[in-house]
Amino acid sequence: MTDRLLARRGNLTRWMGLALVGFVVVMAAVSFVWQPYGIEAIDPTNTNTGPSVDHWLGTDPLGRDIFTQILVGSRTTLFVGVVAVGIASLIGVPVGMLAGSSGRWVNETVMRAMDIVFAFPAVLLAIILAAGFGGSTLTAMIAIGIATVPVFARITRAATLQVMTSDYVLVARSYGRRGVPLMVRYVLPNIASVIIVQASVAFAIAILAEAALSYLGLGTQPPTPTWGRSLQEAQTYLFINPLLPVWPGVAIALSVLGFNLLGDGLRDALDPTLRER
Amino acid sequence: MVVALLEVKDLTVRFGDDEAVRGVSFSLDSGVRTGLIGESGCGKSLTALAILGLAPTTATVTGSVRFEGEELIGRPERELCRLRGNRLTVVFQEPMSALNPLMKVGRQIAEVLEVHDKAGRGEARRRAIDLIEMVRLPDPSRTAHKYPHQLSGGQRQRIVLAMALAGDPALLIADEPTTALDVTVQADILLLLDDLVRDLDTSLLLISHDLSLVASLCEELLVMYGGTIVERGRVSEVFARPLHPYTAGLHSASSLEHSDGTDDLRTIEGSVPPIGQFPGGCVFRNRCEYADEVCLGVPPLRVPPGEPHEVACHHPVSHD
Repeated sequence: MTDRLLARRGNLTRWMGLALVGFVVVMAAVSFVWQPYGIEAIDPTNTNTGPSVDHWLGTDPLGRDIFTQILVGSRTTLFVGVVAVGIASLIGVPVGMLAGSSGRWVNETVMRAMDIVFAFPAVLLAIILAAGFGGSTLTAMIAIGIATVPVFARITRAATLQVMTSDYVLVARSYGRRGVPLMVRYVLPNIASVIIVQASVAFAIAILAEAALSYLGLGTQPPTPTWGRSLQEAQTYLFINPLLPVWPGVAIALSVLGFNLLGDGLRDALDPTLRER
Repeated sequence: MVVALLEVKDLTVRFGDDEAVRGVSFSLDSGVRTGLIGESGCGKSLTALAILGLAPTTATVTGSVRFEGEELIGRPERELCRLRGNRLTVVFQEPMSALNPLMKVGRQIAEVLEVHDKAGRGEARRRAIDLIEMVRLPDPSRTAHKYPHQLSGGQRQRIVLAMALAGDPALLIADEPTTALDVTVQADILLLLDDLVRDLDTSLLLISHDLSLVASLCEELLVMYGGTIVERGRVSEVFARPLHPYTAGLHSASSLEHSDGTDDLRTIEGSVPPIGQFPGGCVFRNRCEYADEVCLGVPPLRVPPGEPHEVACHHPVSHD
């Protein structure tokens, strides 16, 4: 009974998460084929207007269409999320598996190195990178990706440690499976669920981090629209046009919520202890 | 001199300062079925893992394990793989966790053949199906395509057995292979294990806490307590005349005089101490009715050395 309730709750979370994430993906896809206005098109007679038939979400102080900005901004959000999580998992997962399957020295060395990386917040890394290469979407993605590596390394290591003590890995080792084939065929498939869940949660964090970096001017540069910078630009006009910061804010909040719910739901669905036998 | 199939000398496994296995020595000859009995926590499973080179990375293993004359302790995993080949295999207690949950069972058996015999995919597949037939599972080619969770406990244990016997091993270590199964299924699996081991002329080291199981399957017996072997001999001899008080206790605890519910439940006083808290001198002295000052200070040696029936006790049970 409880199991079924849990399963249903998991389903609901998963579907809500999936719907929100799907919505953002559809927005990004639509932006490639159709935009109501150009992203740089200004309408000097209509600045700081509220929602209307012509401008669904109103216009900003320059007379740009906010709906267009949000629509196109979703591309940046998804792009940064995918690349940052990609960097983080492509480095973090192998590192974590190495640490989890090696002896004490490698394990300790690798994990302490990860601790050092973990001590650098994404913002600090982004500032360092921006100082060297100038702020751009690329430096933001790399900064967020590197800052997230230790999260993946830790969670992968913990899962690997557990799987390495399981009987089937011992059996595989007893008949001579070792090294990369052991990791790829026996360990990775059995820890994949943990990594997938972490990826969706990390995606949410990456969206927030990107918004924060763009807000600080360390991320994507104008005129490419991003939700974070829309928010920052809106700040100045908070008292003239109070609706202005709401739209990018809602967009960020809903997509972060979506990825978090998806992660939660996936965890319930993929957790072997909750899975039906 | 004939080299023993497996020779274990002073095998010790430490976790930090705590000794979980304390100087285990024994040897196994080819084609002999040996039982290793002892209660939970006495170090029997850890002994098996240490022999296989699979002790946890947190453990320190010292001593000597010679398999077919080659030393296994202290070798890197790469060399271990070569030396063990698949001539030294293992069956664990829990059939669910002994199979990779995300790999079809046929593939898992084929893996064993691919690693060592360098069999091609197609050939390994065909032989895997033959092996599934050998362990008497119905419809082998369909069974090969199932995942572990689609099989029952008994069926899974048959697959595990097929994997262990795939490479025609010289020695099979079975760590409580039937404990996790129903009684009726247990009997089937034991029968199968017995038949296969005899047919393939494989030596068996059967780890168990079940005396009757060991008595029905094995010829030689090792009794383990507190991380050491306290008694060794032929099964019939040890059961007829147990010399160590612990063996005698185990024996009487698992036999019935009345079967109408009026029988006293005989137990050995106390329980196995946690690792690192075994008494000095004789490990069993705190639970032994014969213990005296000698047992307090002097760890007993196994005597008489080389005789068919050895015991490590200062006051062996007399049978006169």
